[in-house]
Amino acid sequence: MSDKDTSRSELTQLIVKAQAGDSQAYMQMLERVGQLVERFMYKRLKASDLVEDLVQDVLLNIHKALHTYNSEYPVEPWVYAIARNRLNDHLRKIKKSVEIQVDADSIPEQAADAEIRALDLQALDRAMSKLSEDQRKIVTLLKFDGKSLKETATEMNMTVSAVKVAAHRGYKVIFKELEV
Amino acid sequence: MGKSRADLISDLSSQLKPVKVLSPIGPTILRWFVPSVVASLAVAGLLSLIFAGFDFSVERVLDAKFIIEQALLLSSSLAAGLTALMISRPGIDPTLSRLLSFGTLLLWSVLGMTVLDSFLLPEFAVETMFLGYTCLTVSTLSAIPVGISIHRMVTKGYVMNKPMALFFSILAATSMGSFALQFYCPMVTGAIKLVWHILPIYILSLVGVMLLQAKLKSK
Repeated sequence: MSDKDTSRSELTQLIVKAQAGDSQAYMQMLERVGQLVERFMYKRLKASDLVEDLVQDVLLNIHKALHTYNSEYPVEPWVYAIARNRLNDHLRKIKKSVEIQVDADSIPEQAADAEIRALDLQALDRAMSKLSEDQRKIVTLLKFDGKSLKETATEMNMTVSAVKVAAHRGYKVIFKELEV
Repeated sequence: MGKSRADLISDLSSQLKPVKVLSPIGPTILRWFVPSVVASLAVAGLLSLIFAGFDFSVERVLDAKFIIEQALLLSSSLAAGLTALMISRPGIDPTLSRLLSFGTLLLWSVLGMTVLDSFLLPEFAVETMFLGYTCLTVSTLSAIPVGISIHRMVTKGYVMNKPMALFFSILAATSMGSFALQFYCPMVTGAIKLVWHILPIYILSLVGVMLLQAKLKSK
C-alpha cells in the first residue's frame, strides 16, 4: 500500500470515528481536510486571504455534511465536491457583482475587482484570447487600465452603450471559459 | 494553519455530536419508489372516481403500446429520482449521474415519439383538447405526496446542485403521477396523452426550477 493509500484510509477512519462522535478524531480530520481544501483552492485562486476564507467556509460545510459521507466511497471526491460547490458559489457571486456593475452606468473600472485579479492568471489569459480584438481592448481598458466607460468609448471611437454591450459580451465569454 | 482556522476547528470539534449516516442511494430510492407506486395508484384511483368517473379497462391496460408507455413512465420516474439523489449528494461520481440524467431524457424522447403518430388524426380536435384538464388535475394531485416524499429524501443530506436536484425530483414525481393517471384515463388518442399526460411533467419540472432559481437569486 502506498503512502497516499495509507493516508486516504487513515482519513476515512477518522471520518468514520467523527461520525460516531469522537471529537479528537474529528479535530484531526478537519486539520487534514483543511490542508486538502487549501491545496484545491490555491490551485484555482491565487489570493491567500481569499483561500483561507474559503477553506474555513468549506470546513463549516463539511461539518454540516458529515452525515452524507459513506465510507464505502473514496473520501477525496466527497471533500472536493463540497469544496467545488463552495468555490462555484463564490465565483457566481463575483459574476453577479460584475454583471451589476456592467448594468449600472457607473462602472468603477478602476477597481477591477481584487477577486477577478485573484483568478488564475493563465486561465484568464486563455479566456482573453477567445475575445474579439475590440472586446479584448475594451475589457483591458475597463478592467485593467482603470478607464471609465466614457473614456473607453472615446478611445475606441464607439458609443457608451456599444462599449457596455461589447464589455458584457466579453465578460460572458470570459466567465464561460473560466467555467464560472 | 492560521489561528482563526485552528479556532474554527476547535469550535466545530467541541460542537460535534454523533451523526446518523445517510443510507446508500440504492436502498433509499427503493424505499421511495415502491410505496410511491402504490400511493400514486391509490390517489389517482380515488381522484378519478371523484373528478372523472372511474375508468379502468383490462383491455386497454393489456395493450402493448400502453404497456410500453407505462414502462417508460415508470423507468423515467425511477431514473429521475435516482438522479435527484445522486446529484444532490457530495462524493458520488458525477459522470454516472450525468449519464443517468441523459438516459432519463432519452427515455422521455422515446415516449414522446410513441404518441406523435396520432397528431394528424381527425379525432384530435380542439374540443377534445380541453377535456384533458381533469387528467392534469388527477396526475398533479397524485404526484404531490410522491413529490414531497422524494423532496424530503433529497434534502436530508447536504444538498448540492439544488436547482437540478429539484428538477429531477419533480420529474420523478410527475412521471409517477402520470403513470398512475393512465390506468384510469379513458383517453387513448396519442396527441391528447402527449398534451395532457406528458407535457405537464416537463412544464411543472421547469416551473419548479425557475421558481427555485428566482428564490436563490433574490437571496
